[in-house]
Amino acid sequence: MSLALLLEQLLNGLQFGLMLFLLSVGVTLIFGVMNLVNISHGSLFMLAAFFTYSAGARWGYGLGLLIGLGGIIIVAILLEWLVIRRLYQKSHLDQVLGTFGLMLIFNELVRIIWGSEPIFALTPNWLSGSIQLSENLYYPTYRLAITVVAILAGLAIWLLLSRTRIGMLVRAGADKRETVEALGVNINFLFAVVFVIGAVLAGLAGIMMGPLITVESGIGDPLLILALVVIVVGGAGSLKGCLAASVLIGMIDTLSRALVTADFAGGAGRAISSMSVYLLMLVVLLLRPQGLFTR
Amino acid sequence: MKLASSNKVGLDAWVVGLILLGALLAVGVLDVYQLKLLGKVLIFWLIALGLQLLVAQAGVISLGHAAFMATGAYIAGLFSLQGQHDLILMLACVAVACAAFGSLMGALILRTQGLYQLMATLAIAQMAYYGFQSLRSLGGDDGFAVSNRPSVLGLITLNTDVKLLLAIIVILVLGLYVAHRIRRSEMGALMLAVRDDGRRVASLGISPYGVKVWAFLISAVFTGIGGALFAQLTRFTSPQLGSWYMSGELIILVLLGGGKTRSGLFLAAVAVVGIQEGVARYTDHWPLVLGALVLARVLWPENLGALKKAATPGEQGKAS
Repeated sequence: MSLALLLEQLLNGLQFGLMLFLLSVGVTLIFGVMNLVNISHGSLFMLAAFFTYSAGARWGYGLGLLIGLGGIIIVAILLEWLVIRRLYQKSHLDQVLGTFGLMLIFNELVRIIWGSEPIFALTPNWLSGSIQLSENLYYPTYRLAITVVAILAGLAIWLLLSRTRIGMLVRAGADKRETVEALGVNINFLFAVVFVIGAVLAGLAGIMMGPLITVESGIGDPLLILALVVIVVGGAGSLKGCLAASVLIGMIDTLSRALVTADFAGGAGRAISSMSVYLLMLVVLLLRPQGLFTR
Repeated sequence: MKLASSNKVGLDAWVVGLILLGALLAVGVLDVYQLKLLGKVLIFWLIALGLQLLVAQAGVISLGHAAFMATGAYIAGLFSLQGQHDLILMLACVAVACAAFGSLMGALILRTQGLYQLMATLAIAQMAYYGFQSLRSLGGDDGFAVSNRPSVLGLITLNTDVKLLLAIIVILVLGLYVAHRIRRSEMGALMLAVRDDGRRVASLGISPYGVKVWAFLISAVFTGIGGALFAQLTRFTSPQLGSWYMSGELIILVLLGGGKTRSGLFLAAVAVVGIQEGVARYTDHWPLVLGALVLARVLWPENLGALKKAATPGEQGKAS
């Protein structure tokens, strides 16, 4: 493997890791602050992609983007208000099954509205070329652009959590929920805000990844499982852990797919690369159950 | 912690007997398609019996039991590829393999707690799933046909669906008996005690970890045997049997069926298979109905509990 190819795979891994980060932030915040396991978070990823690219096909990319993000905010508010709010006090089993049910419902609704065939995800023209990074490495502009957007979104969420009042309350809520509530903070409102923020980031990841994957019913689910792996590896509720684990898992997943060829070890190559991430998680669970990046 | 009072257990046993009798009679009159449905219901019931011990009795949640279903199905498939084979030998192999796999998985995942435990079951099951997917000589992602049916002790070949269904009913009766004996045994009582307060059990000098590993092993064997029978019934096996959607479905069975009665689990199996096959006649979108049902059961447990109380004898079910 040449150096340029390796560099390209590293960039792909970083970019996939950042996408995972955007998806996982919501799951880890919701788990850290509300102690809720949300299996249906991947559905928000999927819905945003569907909103954007079905509207974008009709009215152009810009409007599609607006409709996608706006739509996901509305869905998230309704979802939190109608269902998620009732799950906070339930057992983990009830939460997992309830949100599993939600995921089935969303997947089928998408199939009813848009059909089972994947829909076309257009990219804006000005992002369609490639950029020369070095002598023999051309990298697609679109991939570079979404990497930049993901970094900006990550910075924004970090600033929000560490520099603003609402972020302070969220962090306080993650540590001692009862105390925050006793100080007179409207905890229901705070939870709703956290849920919507998580949904928007997941939606953003869905919109940006749309052109790179096939936009069809259930696209969010395999990524959601990876997001759950991220949370275990990074430690629940920790933003830094979430980022580090996302990039680590994005790299491992991408590089193992690129380096381990399909014929390796008698056809087991694909299995080994798919398993590598779960193997890492299992080792982390057994050796450092509190996560790799928490103190 | 309360054990169901004896007259309610008696009532549950009567209902189970009636269901089995009904199933036996039904085998005689149903057509091929209906036999498949009945077989699916009975197999899901068998799996749920084992999972009930783990989830409701011992209080361990697993999102990884589809791995055992696929293991059982693949072993059944391998036996079938050999041509003539014996049902008892095949199921014994499935039981041994799933007991080994189940105790290994249980021993690993039970070192963790809560959500992490759930994730660990999911991780191991996903690895098994990708493992099955990579078996290119066995069809890879597409799976393969399980065409040869087994025989019993060289006497009867289960070459028709009716004969296979009768065999499934016999195995189910055995499963009902074994599950019942485990629930009433010291081990069953220990599982309840571990679920309610592991530290007290530990203070009695009994390892709660060991009890949970046993529960995991037992449920793995039930699920594996169910998977083997499922492959024989549908004449097909694929990695999809090991996907995490399937694990979710299996846990849903216990949630809908409640924690205590066997007849409740039967109703849950009827509901899940009924939604998959019955709703599928009118629309492809049966997961919508299943998802709504599960969500409703989680959000309004008391209402559905009351419904079930009216519909089934025995106690009101409660899964967690």
